[in-house]
Amino acid sequence: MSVRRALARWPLRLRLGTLGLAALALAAVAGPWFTADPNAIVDARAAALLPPGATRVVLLRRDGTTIACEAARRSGSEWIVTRAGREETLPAAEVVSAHARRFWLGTDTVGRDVLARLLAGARVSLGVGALALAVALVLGIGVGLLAGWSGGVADALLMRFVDALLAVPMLFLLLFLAAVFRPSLGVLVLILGLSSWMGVARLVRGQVLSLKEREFVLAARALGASGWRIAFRHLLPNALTPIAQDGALRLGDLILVEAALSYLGLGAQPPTASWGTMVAEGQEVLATTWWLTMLPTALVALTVIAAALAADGVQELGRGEV
Amino acid sequence: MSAQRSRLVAVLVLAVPLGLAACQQRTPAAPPAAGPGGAPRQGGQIVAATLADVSTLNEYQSSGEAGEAEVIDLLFPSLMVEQPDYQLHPPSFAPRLATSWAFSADNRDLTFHLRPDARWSDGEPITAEDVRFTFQVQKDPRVGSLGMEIKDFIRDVEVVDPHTVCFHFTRVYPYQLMDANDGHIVPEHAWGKIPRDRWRTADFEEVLVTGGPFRLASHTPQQTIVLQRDPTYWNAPKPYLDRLVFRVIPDMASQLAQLFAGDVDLVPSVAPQEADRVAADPSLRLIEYPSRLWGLVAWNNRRPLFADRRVRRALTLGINRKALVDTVFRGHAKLATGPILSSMWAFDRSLPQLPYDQPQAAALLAEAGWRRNADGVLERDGKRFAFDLLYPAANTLRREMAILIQADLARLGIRVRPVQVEFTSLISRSETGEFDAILWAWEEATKIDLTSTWSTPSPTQGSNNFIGYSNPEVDRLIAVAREEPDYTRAKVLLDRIQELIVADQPVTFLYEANRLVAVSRHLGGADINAAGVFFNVDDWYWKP
Repeated sequence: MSVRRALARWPLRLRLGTLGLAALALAAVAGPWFTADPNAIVDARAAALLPPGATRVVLLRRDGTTIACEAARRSGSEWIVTRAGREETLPAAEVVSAHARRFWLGTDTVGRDVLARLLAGARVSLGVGALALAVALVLGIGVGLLAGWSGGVADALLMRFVDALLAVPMLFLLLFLAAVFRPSLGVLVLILGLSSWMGVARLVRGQVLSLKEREFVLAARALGASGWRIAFRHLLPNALTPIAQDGALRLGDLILVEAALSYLGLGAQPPTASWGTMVAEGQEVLATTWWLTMLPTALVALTVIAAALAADGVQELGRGEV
Repeated sequence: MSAQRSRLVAVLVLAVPLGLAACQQRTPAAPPAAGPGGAPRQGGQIVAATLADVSTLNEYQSSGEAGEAEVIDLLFPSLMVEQPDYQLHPPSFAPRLATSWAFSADNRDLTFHLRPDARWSDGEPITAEDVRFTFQVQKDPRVGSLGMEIKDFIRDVEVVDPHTVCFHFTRVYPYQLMDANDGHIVPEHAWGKIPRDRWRTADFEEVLVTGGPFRLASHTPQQTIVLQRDPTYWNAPKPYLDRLVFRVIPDMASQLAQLFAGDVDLVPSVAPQEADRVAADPSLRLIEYPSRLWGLVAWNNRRPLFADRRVRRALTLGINRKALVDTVFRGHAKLATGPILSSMWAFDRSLPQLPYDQPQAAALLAEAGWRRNADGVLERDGKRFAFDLLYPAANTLRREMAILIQADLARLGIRVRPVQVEFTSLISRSETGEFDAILWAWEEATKIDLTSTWSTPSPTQGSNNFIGYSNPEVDRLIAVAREEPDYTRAKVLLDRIQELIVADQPVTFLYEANRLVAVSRHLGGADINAAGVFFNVDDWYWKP
């Protein structure tokens, strides 16, 4: 079956969802190559809170700093610039270069490019979400297979452990862990992954329990296949649809939780941009500069919707096959 | 209300200036304007927003953390009213419960003459007995009131006759009048019956007897405090207002939303980034004046990284503080210079402001032995110049400052990691010394005493000098200056202290914030200034 035929069998939701996720991932990977340094403060005073589409002349100075001005002209040994409505002069020797720059999505409270930060933030938010999902899947599938396949005491112990973890209010646990450990992206991935594998484990165990009594598994056992072989050749492939569906939904959740933790200051640390920290940084000026909070919020929402569509589509696909 | 106490409570103000505030150019107390329909009228109510409910209405039970200070000042009398004139000289006082006062020839006895017509809300007269009772409460260790040590040099309060009271001091010093005035007078006939060892826990709202322009009409916890005009108040027909309502609105954005909606008439503290929006609204008035809140980067002087004064100076020189203050406060703060606010009489106007000068900073760092390594990061003896800059969680202004400082110092080859820390844990880390640097703020008192913040911390006395700054010459001068009764002579000493501290740069002085108060057009006659938002509440009236 060719890829094209396989794709044609995909339900619309799955196509839309995957397309959305792929586009976001592409923007996250490639975007930062095309934009300026997301952490560079262009001009804290004269380039703060510019609206989307604003253009400024940016002068690069000898010491590596930049200043933004509404207009700039060179007159002899001086630059005459209009900065925040006032004329100032600057010795020409101090200026390395001057160019006009458009801030497509405006600037934030300290004069950083919002577009560059959104794309850099996509890397952080999607990356943390995807890595945390990987941690959760590895742990969840491992524990689920082990519990479902071995049964008996091991199953009971593992599942009671899962139940116990699920009984802990997750946000409080996350807040506690994030407060104990020094916040960093690695810690964030681990915390998110380690706190969300339990659902996967339950799901996989349930699948294994129903599959292991099926004829093809019994046949494989009768033929003397090893436990590993049965697990990875027979059980997992048949449980793939629910796992994929669960994973897609979980990705959306993880990105939301990452945004929440970063919003509370326990995730990405300044000056690193993440969608959650961008919302937090913009909320004080929400009334006048909507784009600072609305754009990252919209991206989080888009990601979650795309993931949910993909999950729905996977389920539909699964139903079609049965 | 006296502002001495605020100094004792280390205020790390959360988002914007809160608490008492200060003034540089005080507008003269405008007599209520008699414009078109503008004569002060009797009646009406004003609704003021407040961030926190009152936790008690007994000042001597208060921990100073909740929102009661201003309500208490409206309900209880003080002997005098501190005036917002501290930019010229130590603050002067105007009569309130006391109509006049005089020192004895040796300055050790201070006699107050009380108004004979002052009454408590239950009709009993306010007398010299109440003043003495209040003093006993203030000194009682079982009560343990917050400003107890303010009364350290008052030996005794003597009732001369029902309307004359005499304070006996154990020594002569510059702030005798201020210390005698500190704290509001409480009713002996009502509260004297409550055993002193029950004062910390008793519910004083149940036995509330007040003696101010207003009395308490109702209090719905976490919602409203309704004050009603007190008909027995001596300054009749004032206050003009029938009611003054405090509405508890715990976040500033909601306070402003209710102000714009017309549900609230007064927001006591507006964030600088909202100032333009308030000023643009024709139905609102924005009042701005220098507060006594100032911000700094506290370097841990005990740590080897910041022990060298050249390094601390380099850090200050390397931060573009002017740009930082202009950006973060949008023009509603000014650059701080030294340990005394520029709005105070003792400020040394010839004090040099350290410039923003990265080359000089780099030179000082090189002199102190720091060299750039292959990554461009400063290094000395194999250790990189990297540190954590702590700031209180959820404080957006401080976060912006941290980001700007990080960017400025990165160009010198210094790695700054901004770390936000939950408020109480930040306080405890400052006390235990577990920090490199903190973005800190102090609310300054109108009494100038540099001992607590800048003298070498002594193991026996409480100190606000958590950074561990120590300069024997500064210690000596501070001890002399605080005993000097003549303020012009004290000023000479204080000038020298300021020079020494600025030269040492134990902290990087960042900003002196303005206070922004927003009021609706319904509020008339208000003179809101550095002595407090409710400074002339007697003259406030409601405009339709």
